[in-house]
Amino acid sequence: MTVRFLRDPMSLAGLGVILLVFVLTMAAPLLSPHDPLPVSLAERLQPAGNDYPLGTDPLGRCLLSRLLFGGRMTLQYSLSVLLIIILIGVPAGLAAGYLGGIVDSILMRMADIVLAFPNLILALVVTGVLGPGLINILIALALVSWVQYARVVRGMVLSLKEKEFILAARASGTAPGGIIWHHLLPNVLPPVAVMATLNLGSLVLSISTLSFLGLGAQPPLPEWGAMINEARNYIVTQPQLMLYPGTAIAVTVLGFNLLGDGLRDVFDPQGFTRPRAYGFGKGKQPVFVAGAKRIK
Amino acid sequence: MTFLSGRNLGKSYFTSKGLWHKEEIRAVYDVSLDLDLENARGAGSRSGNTGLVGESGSGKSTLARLISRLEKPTTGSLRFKDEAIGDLPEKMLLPFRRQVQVIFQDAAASLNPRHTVEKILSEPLRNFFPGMKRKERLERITEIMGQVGLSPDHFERFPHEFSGGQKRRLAIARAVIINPDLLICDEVTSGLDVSLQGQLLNLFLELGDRFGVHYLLVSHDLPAVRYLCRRVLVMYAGRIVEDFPAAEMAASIHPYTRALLESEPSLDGSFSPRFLPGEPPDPSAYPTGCPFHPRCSEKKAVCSEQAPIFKKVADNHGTACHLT
Repeated sequence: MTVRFLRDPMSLAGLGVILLVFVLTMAAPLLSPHDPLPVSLAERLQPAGNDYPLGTDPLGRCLLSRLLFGGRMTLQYSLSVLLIIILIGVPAGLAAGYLGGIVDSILMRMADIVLAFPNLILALVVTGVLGPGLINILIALALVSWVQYARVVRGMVLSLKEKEFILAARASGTAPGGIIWHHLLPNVLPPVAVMATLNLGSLVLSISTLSFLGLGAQPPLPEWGAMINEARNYIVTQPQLMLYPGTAIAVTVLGFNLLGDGLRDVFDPQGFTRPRAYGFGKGKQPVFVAGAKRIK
Repeated sequence: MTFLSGRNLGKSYFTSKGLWHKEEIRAVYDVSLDLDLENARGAGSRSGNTGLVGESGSGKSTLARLISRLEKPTTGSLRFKDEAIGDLPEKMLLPFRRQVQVIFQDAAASLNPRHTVEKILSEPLRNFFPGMKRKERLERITEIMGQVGLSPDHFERFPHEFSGGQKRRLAIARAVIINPDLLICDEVTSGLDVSLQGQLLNLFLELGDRFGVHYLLVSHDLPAVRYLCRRVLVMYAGRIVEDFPAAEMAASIHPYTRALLESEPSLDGSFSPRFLPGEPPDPSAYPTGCPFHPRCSEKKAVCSEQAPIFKKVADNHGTACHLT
């Protein structure tokens, strides 16, 4: 299982990118050459050089430092949102699926209402009501994203709870709480882990989007989306201001997606690798399950 | 005091047809039965073993799930040692579950794929003997694994590392590890090759003799039932149509039972099957009167009008048929 993951160049690349981004951004206070906040108009729009590896922005702040600290902000908030929606979505899905009845109806109707709106638009509305700020977009994103987890987990529980090993656990005297904890949760978590990895990419994107629109990180705080917003006016004369945070977002999202795809293959119970549209690994033919008839 | 008794047990499932209309599917309908294990004690091996036979869809598996209280009966009452258990919540059922265990048809599906053998076999011990220490549990697990014919040092393995026959033994080990009085076996021999079936039935007999476990064997495998059981219950269309001693198969009265027995192939070459015409009735629309009358070769006028009542014809023989 692990071997399959390590042999796949795409998953490895994803893992590498994510590790790199994490190390760079989490070590931002150590790595960044300057303080990302103080304004110094005398040094505005400096070109890349010795003092400023990536140059400075229109307010004379070191671009590299802002990029590192901005990524820290984006990743921290994406992970927080993810943690919150897993902590809400998974228990909600377990409860709805296992208990059924009125609990299921209430939770799923709530989910239906949320799903009836486009995610980002709904998050925009919630932030509009709560006011701009990173904590508020965190709440807004959590409110609109937990439903996917609740839905998926509920679906898995519905099929799992008809399995005979759940009946057998009941016959062995295990209480409903024990069945959920010992039998349902361990079978539900691997797919949730895959979903969470794939979801992180889109969360990074959502947080950046909301910050770009001015609803998330407020100036002077660095954040990738907010940085792109600040660079808007200089898109023709100083395109690198927008390119650096834009590339950072794209690379991070790509990394999470590759990693998620790799994890999904690892947890795939069928146990054979699908050839990928973008795969360049040699010999990536689908390996058929032993015993399957070969067509000549 | 009867060990387990059901009175007029029924289980219906509802499917919605359209927005308001619901269709009732009666999987089990007005079943009364007593499983008396006290009288069976000391009366020799197999004496408390009961077979439940019938064709697919006759409701025998549903009945097994009702009397193991994995499903709640929709009608009727279920009593365990004179205590009504039909409506009890799960945590009040522990004393009942302690004595009545179940083995499922698909042993592989009845074992959690993410649990080791130790965890699987510990589960009933933890629930029924909360004070047991891990060391004592491991001793008991080692002991039971030897008794069901598994290698005792395999307790760190996962279910998928075992063969089909070993998984069945594992499922049996989990059920008998707490020494239950009654073991409900739902189609345990189906889908196995004959030698494995034989091994399992002999294991059942051995465990029965050694620990005093009695069996309710739900099966459509007549030879297995005849081998293991003293008493046979025949189900048709959700009802028990005949209850007779396994040794006196020839004395069966109900036309359905006789058709079932005659459809069994034999090895001596005298096999001339007599096939029943027609099909089993639709459980959402049983025929009026006796549910078997459309297929019965001996039906009378009364059969299509009045449902037969279950009557005793001898001390240990009863049937629901107008012909008696």
